[in-house]
Amino acid sequence: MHTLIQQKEAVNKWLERIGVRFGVYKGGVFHEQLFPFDPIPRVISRKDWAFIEKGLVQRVRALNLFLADIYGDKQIVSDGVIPEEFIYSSKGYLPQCEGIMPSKKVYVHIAGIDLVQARDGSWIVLEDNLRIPSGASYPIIARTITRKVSPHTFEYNKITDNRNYPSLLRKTMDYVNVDNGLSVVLTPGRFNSAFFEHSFLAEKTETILAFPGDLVVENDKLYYKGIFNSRERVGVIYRRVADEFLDPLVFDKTSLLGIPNLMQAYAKGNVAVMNAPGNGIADDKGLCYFVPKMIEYYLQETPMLQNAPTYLPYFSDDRKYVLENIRNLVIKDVSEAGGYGVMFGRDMNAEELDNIKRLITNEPRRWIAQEVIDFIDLEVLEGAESVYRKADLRAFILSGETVEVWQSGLTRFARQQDSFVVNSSQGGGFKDTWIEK
Amino acid sequence: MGETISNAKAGNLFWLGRYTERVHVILHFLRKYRDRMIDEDADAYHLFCEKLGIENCYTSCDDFLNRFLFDKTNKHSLISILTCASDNAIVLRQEIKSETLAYIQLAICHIEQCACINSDVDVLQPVTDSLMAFWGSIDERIHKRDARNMIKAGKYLEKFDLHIRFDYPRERINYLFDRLEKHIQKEKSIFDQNSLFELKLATEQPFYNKQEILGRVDRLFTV
Repeated sequence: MHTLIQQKEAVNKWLERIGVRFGVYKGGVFHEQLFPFDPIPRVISRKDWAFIEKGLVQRVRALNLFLADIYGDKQIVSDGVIPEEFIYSSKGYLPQCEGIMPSKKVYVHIAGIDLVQARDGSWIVLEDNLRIPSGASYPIIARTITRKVSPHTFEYNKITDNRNYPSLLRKTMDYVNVDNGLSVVLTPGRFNSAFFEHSFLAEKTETILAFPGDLVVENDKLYYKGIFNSRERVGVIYRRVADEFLDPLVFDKTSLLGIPNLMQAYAKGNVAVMNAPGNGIADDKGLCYFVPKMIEYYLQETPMLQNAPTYLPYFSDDRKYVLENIRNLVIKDVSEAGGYGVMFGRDMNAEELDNIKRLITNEPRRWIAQEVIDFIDLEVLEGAESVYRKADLRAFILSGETVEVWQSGLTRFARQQDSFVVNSSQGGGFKDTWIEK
Repeated sequence: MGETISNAKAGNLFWLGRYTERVHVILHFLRKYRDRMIDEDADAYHLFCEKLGIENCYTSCDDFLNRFLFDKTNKHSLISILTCASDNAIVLRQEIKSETLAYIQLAICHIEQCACINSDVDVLQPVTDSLMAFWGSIDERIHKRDARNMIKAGKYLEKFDLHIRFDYPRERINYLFDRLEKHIQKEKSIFDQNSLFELKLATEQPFYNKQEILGRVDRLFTV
């Protein structure tokens, strides 16, 4: 490990060389910056991982069944497990997806589930990302580079190889591919914050990186457009474009990023879209509260992984508790992502507290409140000094013929002392995640 | 993976070839002019700009070296051309592979570091080295023949264009035309074969018209 730490600069030079960057908009101007890498890995024991893995598989199976149900019979609503209002008022619920069954009945092809480890060692789910979870490319690259610059580290430490993510992803794509067509990764373009990852995954899965305008629907089938209007049928599209921009004839009419009539081709079963449009209903922060209930309902199993203790102001008892204890809670706007819309009661002044209380009272469905988890700090190098920072773990679960958990994950850490915000868009860094063999 | 290349990617491949070669050849020419500027003709950069066909907006040799090499706001500067190469390369990671893209990244990183200090052309040898490695990597790693031809057509078109501008001997021009023709004929669908024929005739004239040739060069790529 010591030699790996000594090689920190060498690792950063390699990251620069490979062009490992992510984009951010500051004042409306696009900048690309390196994602700060910390060489001290997060190490997860085999025993811990076995538990996490089972819990994640269980969770994703239930979420997939929930999506099939909610865009179908809605049995979970009629049985009173989830209030109807939580479905129809969610921004993530897309009525246009009603009755559509995706290829091989898979909705959640790639799940990114954010976990933290509490001080008692238990693992807690913070949120599910079931639309376009990003970040898998960084640990693959970090591992590739660290093995290069410090081979002895990996001779002495017995660590599960994580460089198989592209093959897992490709396996998933192949499983749902319709009529053995082309496999493409659809990117919104060069100036998307995650463009590096889109191009990297297309390269490593040996699929085609498609830009808006490269794809066209004709006779309810999707085609990749070649030079001078040649056409090649597409069987699966791993889209990194958000639902609302995916098809301008169905969703946002002003979208220049989408493919007109894609939803029609998808609804007719002529192309697989991963992740499935409409998944946002299942990763709505308000719905996260119900995931353990989904596991019991669909799988008749006891949930293995617990959520952070969550309160829904929608319920009057919870609302009363939240308003009385707001200083001890973290408040989240369910419609925000990327670390935005997250407020800690302890950091707010009287005026801000009054304001948020009013908003919670007036729009209870828009907010959730969670107990602040005192999750463990991880060691991080800051210059030559070793410091401790909050960190989470995004685990990636891929569903095809089977549900598989990638034996690694993206460990993100806060750069500032006492900060809980680990998102890269807000300055967080990342570490490799080692799973012991 | 399918064999189809989109119009946009064909354009990116072609322009990646052009911009990369522009940096490479200009650096080569510039070293010769820099040598003349030492003790032969301090104003040799005037002629350099004229031949290159860019505005001479420079006030001195030092100003020229600084702004022509490192000024990002100058669209003709070497750093700007390299950025254009990088912009095309970044969207082609999957076609050219990360290892090949890395050589452009290395060149960009190096020139950006040099821009921070008051540098001369001598410090840019690593840029040339990276670009040579880039071309080697293109040969090694691009397995799709049409993609390789598109980028090489861009390369030889740029090389031919610049050698015409700098009045290279006929023998060298003919050699470059042959290389260009070889790649263009392999990708007939995206290059105008009539323009190629006319370009060949114009190049074969005993006293060729430089402007006519440069105009025909620009009309070859049709996507």
